[in-house]
Amino acid sequence: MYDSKGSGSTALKRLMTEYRELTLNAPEGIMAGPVSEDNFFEWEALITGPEGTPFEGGIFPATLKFPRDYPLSPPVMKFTCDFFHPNVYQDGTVCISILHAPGDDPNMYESSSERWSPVQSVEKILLSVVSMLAEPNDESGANIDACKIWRSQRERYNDIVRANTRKTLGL
Amino acid sequence: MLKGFLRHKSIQPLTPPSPTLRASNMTSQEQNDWQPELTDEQILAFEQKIKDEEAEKIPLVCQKESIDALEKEFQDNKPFLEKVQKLKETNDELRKCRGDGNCFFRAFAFAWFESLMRNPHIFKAGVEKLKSTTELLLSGGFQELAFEDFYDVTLNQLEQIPDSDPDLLLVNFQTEEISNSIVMHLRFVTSAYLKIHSAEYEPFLIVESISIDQFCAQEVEAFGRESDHLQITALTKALDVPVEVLYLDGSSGDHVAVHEFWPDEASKGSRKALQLIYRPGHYDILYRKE
Repeated sequence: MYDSKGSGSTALKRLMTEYRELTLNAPEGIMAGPVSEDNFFEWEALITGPEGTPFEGGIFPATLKFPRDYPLSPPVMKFTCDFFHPNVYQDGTVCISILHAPGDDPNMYESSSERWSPVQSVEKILLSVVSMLAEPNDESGANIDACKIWRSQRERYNDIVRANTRKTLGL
Repeated sequence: MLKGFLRHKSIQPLTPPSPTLRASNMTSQEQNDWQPELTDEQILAFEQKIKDEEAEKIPLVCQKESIDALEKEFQDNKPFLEKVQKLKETNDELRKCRGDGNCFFRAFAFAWFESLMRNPHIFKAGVEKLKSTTELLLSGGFQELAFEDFYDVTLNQLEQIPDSDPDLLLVNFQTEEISNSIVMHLRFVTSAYLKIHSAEYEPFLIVESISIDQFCAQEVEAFGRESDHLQITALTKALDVPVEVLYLDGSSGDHVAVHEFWPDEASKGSRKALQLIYRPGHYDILYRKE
């Protein structure tokens, strides 16, 4: 064994910097930070549903789990509320190209799509997720039912999503 | 499998844990609810397992060893063996690096740092060159947030060289966080250089029909992606470090093809190039006979 996991100190440093930047100037509609000061490798995020989508008005909580070798490898993002979307698994795990390194292709992303590398960041992931809410990619679906309904019964899709949106507000 | 010249695949694809194992002892209700996807914990654990398995095979950078190791490796492969035997006329040692897709960058970095340790008169210029890379990265459109930690580690390691020794250098390059940060910094430097000189290098990507930006995002900036001619050309120019890649292949004859990467032709002959040995699948460091 040759120190394969590392101490995670580079990851910790980077996560602290990202947290500081996000606190100082977070893009509109996005909030994120560590769940506790004792563990920077687990974050909570809140995403505001973009206007003009059935997610509008909702505030969607999610967790981000970072590997010890972050940012060499990407975090895993998971919504912790009911979430119906073609690119989100039923357990809430988000499946978009920016969360996968090139060559890691669970959903056959287009080769031109944006991939994980250390130039990406929590902020860029969350912005990608916001655009994913407005524009699902049904070519690389994670929730097949959501893909089908989004494609062929848009009103029904909108109704399901709006119902989830209301739930996030406790209505 | 070999998509281009000087490219390799070092990690064999592994199959994820079989879903049937889990499904067999579930109730019918659980089976209905159960999704055949891996949870995030499983994915992370699985990725860590692959890394651990790789790590157990060989350190990131190994001790020097006799070139006889190559003879042994190719004892049943005549075309390779003939070339290795020819190589023994000029070179006597090699140093292996782990085959994790980063071997070019890691081999280059170690060989470069080692050459600065052996030649104090070029050390200062090396440090200056490394310091100039922050400017290069900013011009290449990199955010400070993305590169500062990797740069700090790399500069810190380089600046230690005058007070260090070869054993400590090796230990540091075997330490995952230090070694990988240096690899990442060199990846960013390579990427920035290619982006800044895109007009010069884009024509080489016609076959792949992608832009330099796409190429850099997919092949250069991502950790663990293998390296090809373009990366070597860019890095040797960006850091002004000449490299010769000695290429072992299955062609007939005992001639080892040498691919030279000189930052500028004019300086050729006035200094020694680092030597790497490439055999299909891998780069290692090569040493000349003293």
